[in-house]
Amino acid sequence: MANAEPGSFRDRDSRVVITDDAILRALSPEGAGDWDALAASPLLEDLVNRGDLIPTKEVDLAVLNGSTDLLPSGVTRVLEHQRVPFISYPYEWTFSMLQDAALLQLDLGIAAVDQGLMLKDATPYNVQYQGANPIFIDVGSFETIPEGLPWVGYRQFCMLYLYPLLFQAHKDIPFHPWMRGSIDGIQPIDAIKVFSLRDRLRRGVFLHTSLHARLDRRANKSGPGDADAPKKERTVKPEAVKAHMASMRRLVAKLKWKTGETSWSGYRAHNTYSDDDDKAKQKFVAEVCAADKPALTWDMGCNDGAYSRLAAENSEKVVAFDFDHATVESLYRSLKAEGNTQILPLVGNLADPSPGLGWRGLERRTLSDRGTPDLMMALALIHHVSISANIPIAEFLDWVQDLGSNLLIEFPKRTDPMVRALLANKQEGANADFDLDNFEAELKKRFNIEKREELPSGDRVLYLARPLS
Amino acid sequence: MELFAYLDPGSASALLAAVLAGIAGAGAAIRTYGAKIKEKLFFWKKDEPAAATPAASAAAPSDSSDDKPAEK
Repeated sequence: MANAEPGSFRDRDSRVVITDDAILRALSPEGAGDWDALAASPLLEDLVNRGDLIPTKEVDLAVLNGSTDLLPSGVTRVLEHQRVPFISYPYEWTFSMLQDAALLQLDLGIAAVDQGLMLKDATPYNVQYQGANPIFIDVGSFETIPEGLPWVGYRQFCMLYLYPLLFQAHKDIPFHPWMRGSIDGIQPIDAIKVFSLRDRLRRGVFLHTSLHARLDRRANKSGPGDADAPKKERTVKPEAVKAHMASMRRLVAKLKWKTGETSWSGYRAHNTYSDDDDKAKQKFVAEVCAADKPALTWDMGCNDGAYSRLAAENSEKVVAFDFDHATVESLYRSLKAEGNTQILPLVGNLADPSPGLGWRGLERRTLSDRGTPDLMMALALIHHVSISANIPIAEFLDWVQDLGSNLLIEFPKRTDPMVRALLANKQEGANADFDLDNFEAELKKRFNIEKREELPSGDRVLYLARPLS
Repeated sequence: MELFAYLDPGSASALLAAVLAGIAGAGAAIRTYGAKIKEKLFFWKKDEPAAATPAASAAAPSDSSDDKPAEK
């Protein structure tokens, strides 16, 4: 069965097609011409070997089972891409992840010009992460350089890369809600409102934001113009386009986000665990992963990633989620320094997971639509879900059951110091379902408890539970 | 309230991109040829170690060292 990927309709010369066992790309005659130009240049092999571009090969048209009407001008060529283990989106990345994706986008754009090619767009949705390594996935973005045109992806680059990075770097405004709020990113006229006069003197802000917004406003005031009027010929040389991208690269590379200390970033150093509890927990996690060898593990509430790393010793891939941006940023930086391609760190809130976005709500998929884990780890998490976010224990377990995942969960009793702190501001008897006996009863309704271990402090219990079949 | 519904949203950006490409292109050219001009103007300093810089930039026309893709 060959299904067109609902999020890849925008480019009429290239469409991603998903079959049971492959990720394909259908190309129109024009798209095939651009692919031939890329394949004939040394760029393709070079980028794939460097891990910058998704490995891609041509396959027989027959794999589409006759679905050659996927593109308006027909499909003449089919490519097969290597599968990305877990799809993530820029509103789940940290500042440095978005910055590194931007630099990859620009590096590819600059390298393409040298080969008589150009990238037809500039969107972070064309970049995916394999662990801490960004990789460009849209081979269909490469086209033969359009004569005389400026950098065609410039506006898109500003809206989806530059403004979010400037917000975080100069104003410490998290870019995630903006990116999640609009699939096309931040408009220049909105971006400029965020910057003060002083900010406008910072590198790049005046040119790419103030001037950009001013020109947008002027174009808006002058109306749509005369459709029959002769078009002004612009002749921008490829070398100038390359210089434009190179100057943007210098700007982006210099941006820095001073993360500061959040209540979570120093968690490891001053949490409420005893060393004995920590050791017992490490042993439990290591044993479960060694026995299960999960293909995909989700570590929900990963904090500094210590348990994600432990799980990674026996998991093929680990996705490490935490809702604290600064904590995940620090994890990403350390994984990047190690060249880790196994652990993918993401910013995410379990109580408000990424929704479906864009046309028909299908262009960007919900978290669970992008693949479910073989093992979910929820260590030191359930009390935050239940007490802070008020999500009923039974509903949380329903969610994990729906994912069909095995569950490694830590339950802190009501006597645990952290639980008492969370309950301190609540009314007497609040969150009554947050109770060990109730938790175990609800767990047994949905899962088979294979392992149960009380930690030495006596305040916390660990479980390995498998869904009832 | 500003309405962009009737406009090609890229028209102002394309104009700006063309202008910025012109500026950046000129900047790159100045960096490349400026070094050559400097070399000619200060020809008597030719034998000094500083003269090695223009030769290096001439080997990478219109591109400064920090324009290069980051090493992975």
